Amino acid sequence: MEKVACSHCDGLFNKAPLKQGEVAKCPRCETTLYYQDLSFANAIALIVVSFILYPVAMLFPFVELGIAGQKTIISVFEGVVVIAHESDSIYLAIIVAMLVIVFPLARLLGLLLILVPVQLGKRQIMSLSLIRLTLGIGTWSMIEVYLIGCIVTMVKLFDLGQMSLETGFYVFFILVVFNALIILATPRQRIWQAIHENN
Amino acid sequence: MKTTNTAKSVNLTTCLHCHSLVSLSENRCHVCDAKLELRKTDSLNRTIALLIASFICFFPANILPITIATAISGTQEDTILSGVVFLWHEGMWPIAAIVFTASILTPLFKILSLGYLCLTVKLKSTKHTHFRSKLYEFTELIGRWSMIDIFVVALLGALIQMGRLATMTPGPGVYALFVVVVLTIFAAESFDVRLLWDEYNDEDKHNDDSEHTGEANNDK
Repeated sequence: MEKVACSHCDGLFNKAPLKQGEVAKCPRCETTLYYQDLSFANAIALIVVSFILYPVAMLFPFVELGIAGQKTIISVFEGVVVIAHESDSIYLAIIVAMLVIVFPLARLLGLLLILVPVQLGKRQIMSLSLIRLTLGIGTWSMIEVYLIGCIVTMVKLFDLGQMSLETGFYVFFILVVFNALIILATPRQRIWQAIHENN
Repeated sequence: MKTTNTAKSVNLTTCLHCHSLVSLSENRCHVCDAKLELRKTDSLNRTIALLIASFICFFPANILPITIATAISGTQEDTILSGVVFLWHEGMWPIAAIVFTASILTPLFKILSLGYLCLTVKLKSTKHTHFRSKLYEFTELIGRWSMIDIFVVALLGALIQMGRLATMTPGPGVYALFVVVVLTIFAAESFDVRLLWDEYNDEDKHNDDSEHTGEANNDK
């Protein structure tokens, strides 16, 4: 009989067949063991829409701050550039650019290149090590943390001047929600299980 | 209740990348080609080293200023804590609480909880395994939220640029905080949660003088 081991507590169990939509959990520590549903259609749709929204969220006006009649409007992208230029904090600019632009985009692109072949029942385009890398950088995609950071900033500046949220912010918010849904729909084990069954 | 077999006891291991069950006689996983190990290499030593490093950086992160504001009236340097105190005094205590939790409590909690988990593994504790396992999951989950303050500083620096009137520049504390967060994320990643379960015995959950199953090679 086929066996499965828990990645959390190392318990070894017999693999039981699952019905559609069911998930096998470890009887000892309740970690998810394996899945039945290996379809990623929803995730692919969300990723494609995210790709269209991403430039909008990055380049459209994000927040506006008005102090004593002077207005500053920035997009997420401009925010990074301004930090690098005006306040000479090139390293902080790089950190923010990585966590909010580079890693999230790389992850989305990589995920799409993995999931499309899976969904079509084809072999993978990318090498296995590249797939491992893509699935591993999730921790470093921090757009939801950035969103909370923006709200904290707004409250901090409440006394100083008038801060308002612009188009870019709302698009960014939608992106964060989509991103969370994509993460929920694409657990790493489930992807590998599907890749394995296709190859 | 029957004692659960472990993969380790039959010389199998779970590939941590794709979670497939593989034999340890293979060098690389047949599903995802990742390197195979029974337990993460040097898990305890690496975790402890990273924890010590992040604890050291915790001090500059909290002592050095994270923002330097310049206005006609003069220059004001703020640390994480002085920022929290300011928010508190202004009556914005929910935000003060968020910043305090994210920037100060979370890193500290991560260091303490991972340190505690490493200690229990070293002492071969068999108690509260379920609790410790959940504690690890929680610790791993909250790590990234400590980045909030770094983004706040970046946004403040970008928004408050009004020539001679007022500017806000990031201070060196922000880099120390970044290092703390990165190191604690790596520390959580290098800890192997299966070490907690290696000493676990299904038969008597609260008895630590029971017979140990498996060999006592923990840290490999």
